[in-house]
Amino acid sequence: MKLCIEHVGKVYGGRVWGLRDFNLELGPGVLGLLGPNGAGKSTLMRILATITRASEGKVTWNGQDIAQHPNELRAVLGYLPQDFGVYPHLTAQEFLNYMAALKGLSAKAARQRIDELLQIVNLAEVRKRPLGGYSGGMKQRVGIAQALLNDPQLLIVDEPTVGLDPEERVRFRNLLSDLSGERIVIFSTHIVSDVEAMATEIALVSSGTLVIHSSPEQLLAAVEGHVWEWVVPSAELTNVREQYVISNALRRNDGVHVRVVSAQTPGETAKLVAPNLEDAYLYYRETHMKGALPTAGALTKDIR
Amino acid sequence: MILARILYQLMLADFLERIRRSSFLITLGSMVLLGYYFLPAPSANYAVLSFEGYRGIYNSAWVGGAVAILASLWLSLVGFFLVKNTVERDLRTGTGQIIATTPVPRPLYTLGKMLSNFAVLALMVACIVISAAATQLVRGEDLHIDLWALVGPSLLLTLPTVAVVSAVAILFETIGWLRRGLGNIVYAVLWAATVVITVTIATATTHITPAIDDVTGLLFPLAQMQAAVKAMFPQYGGGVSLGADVKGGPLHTFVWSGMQWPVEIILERLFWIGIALVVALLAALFFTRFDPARGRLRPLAAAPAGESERTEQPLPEIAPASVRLTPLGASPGSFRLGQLFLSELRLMLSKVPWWWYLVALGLIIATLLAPLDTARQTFYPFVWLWPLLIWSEMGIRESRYRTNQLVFSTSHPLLRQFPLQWAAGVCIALVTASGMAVHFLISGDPASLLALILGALFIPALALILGIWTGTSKFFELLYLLLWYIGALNHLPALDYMGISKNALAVQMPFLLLAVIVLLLVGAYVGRWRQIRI
Repeated sequence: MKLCIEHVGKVYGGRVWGLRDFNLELGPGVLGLLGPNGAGKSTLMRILATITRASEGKVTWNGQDIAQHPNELRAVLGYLPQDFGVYPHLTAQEFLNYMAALKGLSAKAARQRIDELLQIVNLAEVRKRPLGGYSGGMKQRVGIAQALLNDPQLLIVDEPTVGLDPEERVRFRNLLSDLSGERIVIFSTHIVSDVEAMATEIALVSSGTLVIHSSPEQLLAAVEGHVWEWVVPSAELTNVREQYVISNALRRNDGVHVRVVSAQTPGETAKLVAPNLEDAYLYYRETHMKGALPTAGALTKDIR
Repeated sequence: MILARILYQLMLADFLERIRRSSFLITLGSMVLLGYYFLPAPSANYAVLSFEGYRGIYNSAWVGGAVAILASLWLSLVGFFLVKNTVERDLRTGTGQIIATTPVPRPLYTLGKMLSNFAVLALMVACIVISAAATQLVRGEDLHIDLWALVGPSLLLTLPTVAVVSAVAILFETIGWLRRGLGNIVYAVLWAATVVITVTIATATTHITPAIDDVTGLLFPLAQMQAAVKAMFPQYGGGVSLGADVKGGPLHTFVWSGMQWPVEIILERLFWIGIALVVALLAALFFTRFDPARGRLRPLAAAPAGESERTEQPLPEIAPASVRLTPLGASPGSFRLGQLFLSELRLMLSKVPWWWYLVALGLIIATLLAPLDTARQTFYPFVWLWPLLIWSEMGIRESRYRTNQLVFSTSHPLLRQFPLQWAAGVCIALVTASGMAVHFLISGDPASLLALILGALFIPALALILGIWTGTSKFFELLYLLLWYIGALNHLPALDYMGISKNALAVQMPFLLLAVIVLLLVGAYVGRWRQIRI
């Protein structure tokens, strides 16, 4: 089971590149695509889900070009878009039945699968209520359920925890962890804690390009010794922001406790602390934006 | 002053939003073509305005009058369908919720929208008039352009008519049950009734009286033209032919000097502009200000889920789910024709209330039990009017409800879901016409049965291609209503897709229809292929 993304790019209107020279090779596991809004995550996911075609490059699934043979991938694909609708007059059960039919499940398999999925996404008690009456979070859970109907080998979920309350987010994280076994899961998010909880690999995306592809541990190792906690007066916060990458800032009685990502100590009173993934994300993003980062491929090789 | 500014901005923003779409260029192009076809060449085999074989020469007076009449007639129908979407647009785009949080009063909102509708339709009238002026020169019967004679009738007759249409469109958009397909049908029926009454009155009398109830503004100019024909050709019997009509031979021409404008007619047309403003303000009573808890002013598609903020809160510990997913046995992705067909059928019928089935059953029984001719002429046409709103969702469902990414990412959507969607539409046509089909069978009328089957294949194919290519249900609803009215109800053989009249069967309409069905399906397939490939 292998998904290869080779020099993939997507241009809009002939001028705006949503994605450029993107390269990635994936096997079974959970890849977290992390990046700010507009980074190109959804563009990449739409290309992988065969919704849109790449303007350049190639994506292959087990050696087959998905642009030439999309249906081979679609047969084993589960996709949850970032922005989708439902049929408001159908109940959750009926909608999932419809999607199951489109995905080629037998009636018996669909019934069992839908029962299980509705329980897992905690919609069993409202399965017969029309979807038009569902909240945003409930619709999101229906979306998650439909993506899992056909036991997909490639599961693509775009911002899956949007609209979910904390309990539902944890349920989804557990679900994704259970599913990660022998399949490729790609999920995108701008919530770093989701990536921390679920991903076995991380790809940082910024301005349509791949910044780095690595394991969470290796990402953290790369910024080890670069994260400081420092208390600064409120009046100096603006200056500090201009000079350093700040991953967090909390106002306290004694000043502003900032978390700084920097190769050198930012101040005499700054203390070195253990990095987290948010620190690593910000470090790589800022460095990439300043053009100070080597190519993603080289960096990935070096870190691995 | 501030209110005037708000009104102006409401109108302007909506107007600019509409005219900047590429589809609007196509609409304007169609208006230019209309202006040309409203004035057929002497050698053409059709006429659009004639009086028992007579017409005026194409001078500015006749051109101005004829174009005003025909534009009033057609824009009063087509114009409604073109502009009845402005409130819906605010709802769909989410700008409605923002507008709702401003101090804009409801009457100002509905009035602003009505003025935007009017501006759009007025622009179309202007295009038609300009095109007609050019056509006058092309036809060459009179090369002198009299600006007032050309433009005056459109200003005084057509613009008040489209003002009323603009206001009614807003009113329908603010009343829940008239907002969508049913409202389109109601309006089309009202329009047809108005036109029939107008033409009947025009044929029955040549007495020139400005009529306060002449919303279309057709009676007055028609009466003046009829009087002119009568004065020159005493044998003229008072008949009027309005709309495309096949000519028996060349028309006799005469010189018409143009409209007279008594004060009463100007006041009458101003009265209708006043009515339009009143209707626009009346719409404010029904406008719910995009309150999702009131009325049926809810978006058709689900609003996207909001973004969650970064949170510092630790997430609760949740016990692992006690339910596990059972591995699927046989490979999914295989094609289960029966199951997918039934799913498509269920989806098409998901919005249908119980009483729809009752009426459909009644029509089946009526067509089965009534005498054959009564069943064919009286009940059969309505058998295939009743499912109109079901068919009109075909082709647009995926984009309307934003399920396209979910549906088009499944296996072979073109080879599976697309044909079965069509098949489900055919099934509905066959079931609703089953009473008539059995009646034809029992009566030993295989030709009519064949025509019925072809009609059942035709309607969903038409719905699919129009839905897929236009992205809206209105095009199909309008075109089908016209086809149904002219072909099925009034038995024009060339458009009788149901094969109701013996003449339709005689001119081999069914076989032509088969060719059309194939073309429609190919066109729909190509359209869907484009949607999936993008």
